[in-house]
Amino acid sequence: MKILLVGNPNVGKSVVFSRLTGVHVLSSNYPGTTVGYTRGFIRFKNEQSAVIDVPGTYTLDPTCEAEKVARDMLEEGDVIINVVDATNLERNLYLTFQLLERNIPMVIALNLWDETKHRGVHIDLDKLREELGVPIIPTVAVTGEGMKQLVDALPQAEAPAHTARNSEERWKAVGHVIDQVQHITHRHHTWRERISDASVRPLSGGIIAFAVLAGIFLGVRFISESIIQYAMDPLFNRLWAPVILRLSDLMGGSGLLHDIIVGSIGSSEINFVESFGLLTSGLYVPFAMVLPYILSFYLALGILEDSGYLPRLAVMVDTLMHRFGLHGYAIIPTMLGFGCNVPGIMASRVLESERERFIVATLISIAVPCASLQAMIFGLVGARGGRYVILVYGVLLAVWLVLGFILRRAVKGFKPELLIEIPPYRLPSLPTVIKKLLVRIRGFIVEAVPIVLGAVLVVNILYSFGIFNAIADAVSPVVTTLLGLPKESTAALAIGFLRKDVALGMLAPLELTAGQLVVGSVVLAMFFPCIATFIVLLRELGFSGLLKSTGIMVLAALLTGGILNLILN
Amino acid sequence: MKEEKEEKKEKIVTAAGMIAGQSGAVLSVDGGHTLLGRLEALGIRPGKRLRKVNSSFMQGPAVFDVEGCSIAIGFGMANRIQVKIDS
Repeated sequence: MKILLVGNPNVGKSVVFSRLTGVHVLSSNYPGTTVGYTRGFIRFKNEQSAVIDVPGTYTLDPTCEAEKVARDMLEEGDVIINVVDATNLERNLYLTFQLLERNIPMVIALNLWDETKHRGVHIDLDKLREELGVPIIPTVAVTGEGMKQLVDALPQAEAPAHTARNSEERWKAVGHVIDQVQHITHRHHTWRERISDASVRPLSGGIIAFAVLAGIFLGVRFISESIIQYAMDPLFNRLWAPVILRLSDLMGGSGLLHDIIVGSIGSSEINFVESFGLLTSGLYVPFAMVLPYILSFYLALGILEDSGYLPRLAVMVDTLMHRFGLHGYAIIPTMLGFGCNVPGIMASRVLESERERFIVATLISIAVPCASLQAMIFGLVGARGGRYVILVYGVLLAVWLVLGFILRRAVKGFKPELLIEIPPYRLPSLPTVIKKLLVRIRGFIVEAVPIVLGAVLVVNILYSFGIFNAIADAVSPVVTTLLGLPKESTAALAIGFLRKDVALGMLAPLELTAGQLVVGSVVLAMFFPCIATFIVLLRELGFSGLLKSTGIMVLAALLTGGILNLILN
Repeated sequence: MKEEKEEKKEKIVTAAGMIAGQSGAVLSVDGGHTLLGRLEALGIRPGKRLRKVNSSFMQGPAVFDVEGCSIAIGFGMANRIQVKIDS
């Protein structure tokens, strides 16, 4: 038995899904949060039934990849829960009618029911039920209101015989229903609408965009550094260091096993970044350096996502993005990429053309450093002075701009225009924001930390067998001459394929000049994607797209690194 | 001046040519099946009322209030929507 959650974008399908199944999926206040396949289970008619969160779509005649996914999923549904935005009934009913023509038993969740009151929308539920012929349950998914009734109504799901219509007939039918059931009273502009209008006007919108982005950057940095300074560093230096020193003693202070587990440490002091043992750097890098940034970045992103600001930012940057052959909505995958490139590249599915998806995915994997790498840049490069951090970001921004211009000319295909719905501003609810944050942190701990530990292990083993030296000798002309980095940093560039945070950590003990560290950070950020990004690029762009994208990456990284080396060293 | 006054009675412009704050009703959309379908899906079709929220700069997108729902439309698309401005 398969139950499908179907509806327009941004009507709350993912929130209904989380409520029904207890499976936490990411939800936000912008159209296109869900682009893939998520499912959970509920008990229905005494059997385990799958509930599938289908990506939002306005129509069953798809216009983008995510909508195609939605239409194809319909084929396998036994029951549909059509989630409808009660404040936007007319537009939502168009899809409802298309669904009814499919003759699959259906129930309607009339979501955002609470918002109808202050929006002056009055809906006659009994009449609506009569007109459509299926059960209708008013719901407020964020608070859970109506969820029990929705589940109880599932057995009464009905497939009234609606005949197939063309779009004109369908709109006529929708219009007829709206005349019968909906009545809108006049109301005044609310403060939210005033801010909403201001945030898309050229001048005020520009100021707001700048303030929001600067606020996020400074806020994330402040929160992360506070966590590191007041919680993580004391924890490692005061509590963990004595344990490690003791362990090192017990293991005799040297040997292969000692170096793998504890790393190279002094007799009384531990440099947690440089020692490179599983229990020293292997834990310190992911938990004390990276996790604080993951936590604060995703806290900020979560609030931003749920507020509804992102589509407005898309409008503001649209003119700029057009210079790249993209439209403004590409800013959303890009913003997600600053957390982790993987969800960023996946989110590019909301864009319509293959050309756009290629450009966005390539730009993200080259010029958008993920939170893990950024944390290390702040930690290591920041120690040499804030201006070097600014330099790294400045260079990456310049690469993003220049490469965007080039890709727009080089990649052929359809150049679409922005056409999006802008959701109303909503105050993010604290429990939802925290739940979402926990899902993402859990993702980091479960997926990233094991790879960090694996990378540290691999580094130690390869070093002890002298394999890195062999690689370093082979490519040293490129690394030493072109990039001006010591031969030993080749190992770091190679490990960048596993984890870029670990790779940057490997540069720490090499006693690089600040300029070399900047070159190293920029090249690491741009050069070759990490393995997780590599896999998602393969999946989203196909093999030839991946090859092209990777080729551009390697070329751009070497070129930028070479130029930087000439200027700085 | 006189001519302008007469024009005001029934002024037809494209959505891109509207001034921020102006309202009107959609007369027609000049475009292919795909564009019509996409705009329709967002509730923009003949007879619907629009209010322009922002003025686009550098041929950027404009935001329209369509019956309480905000829609951002790219310049080229907005240029294909004929709107009869309220007198």
